[in-house]
Formats: sequence, C-alpha cells, structure tokens
Amino acid sequence: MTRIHRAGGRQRANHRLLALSGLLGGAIGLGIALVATHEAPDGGHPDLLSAPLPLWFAIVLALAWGVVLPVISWRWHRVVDEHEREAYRDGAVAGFYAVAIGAPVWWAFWRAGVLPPVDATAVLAAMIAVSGIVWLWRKYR
Amino acid sequence: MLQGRDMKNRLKVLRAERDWSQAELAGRLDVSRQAVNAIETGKYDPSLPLAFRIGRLFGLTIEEIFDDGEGRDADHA
Repeated sequence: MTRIHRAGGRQRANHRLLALSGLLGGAIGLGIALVATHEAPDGGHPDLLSAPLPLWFAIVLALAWGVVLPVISWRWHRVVDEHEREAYRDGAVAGFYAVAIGAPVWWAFWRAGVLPPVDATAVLAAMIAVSGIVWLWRKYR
Repeated sequence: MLQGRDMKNRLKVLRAERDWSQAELAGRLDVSRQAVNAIETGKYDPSLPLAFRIGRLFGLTIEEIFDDGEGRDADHA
C-alpha cells in the first residue's frame, strides 16, 4: 500500500491531537483524584469536585485547561477536514443551546424553590456531553 | 446541514471502477473515511474546493460527478 492510500497527513494529525487531548484529560482527572485523596481527612472520602486545592495544583490545572488545551484545540481546528469541521460546529451549536436553554430554565425553577441552585459543573458537563454526542453522531451517522 | 435539494453523485461508482476502498479514496483526497462515506450516501455535500479535488482525481468535471437535480427537473419540464 502506497503512502497516499493510507490516512492523509491531516487525518494522522487529527488523530494524534485527539489522543493528546485525551491524555491531557486523563492526566487532569488522575491529578485531581490523587490530590483530592491526599487532601482528604483521614478515613474520609475524597471530594473530587469541591474540596479546596493547593495553590500549586490549581495553577497546574489552570495552565493545562487554559493554555495547553486551547493550543491543542487550535492545532486540531487547523487540521480537521471540512466534514468533521461541520460535525464539530453542529455539536458546538447544540452544546450552546443546551446551556442557553437549560441553565435559565434550571435557574427559574431554582427561583421558584423547586430545584437546587444552578451547578456550574453540571452545566459544563451537560454542554460537553451534548456537544460530544452531536459531534460524533454527525461524524459517524 | 439542512439541504434544500437532494444532491446525487457518482462517487461510489467511480471509486468501485478503480477498485478503491473508501479509506484509499479518503487518503487520496486527504479527508477522513467518514467524509467519503457521508458524501457517497448523500449525507454531506462537499465544498466547492473539495468537489474540484474530486473532479481532478477522477479526471471529470464536477457536473459529471455531482447532480443537484436541476438537470432532472429540466428534463421533466
């Protein structure tokens, strides 16, 4: 099989950058778990989402999420083909609407005493989940 | 993307004539295999630059590969 028959250079870069993003996410999750376990009171369960973090680790997290991830994303957007770009755009639009519609509805019901206060982590998770599902559906359907 | 009209194309036939897999064609066009599959099944219409690349690869014009239905409508008029 000649070189041209294999995945093109852009596709290889696409896969490489996605793998890098996955590794970064895994490293962030592992780091949070390790720090939360280390900081948990003796015998207590680690609180992954809301326990205080050491400043040095918060800085590492901020650099990973706020600097490294945007650089990887920028590179990824430069190498994806037009089909995946459209799939990703549709996912991003769906994620935006999930937040733009879901968060105010949740907020209104919180004001009415029906739901707990809007949880930023849940909103972020919902946006990422909706975006990812629509992106993959549009790519692989 | 919502399309106002179904675009038809001969990509699958042209690929089969050359005994290329979707992955091989994708490699030649430097797009993903999923992009080739989406174009072949009419779920995605390629951009004009990609349509020109496809035409050059097969030595055909865009109109010889893609049909937006206008010709079919004119024939039926």
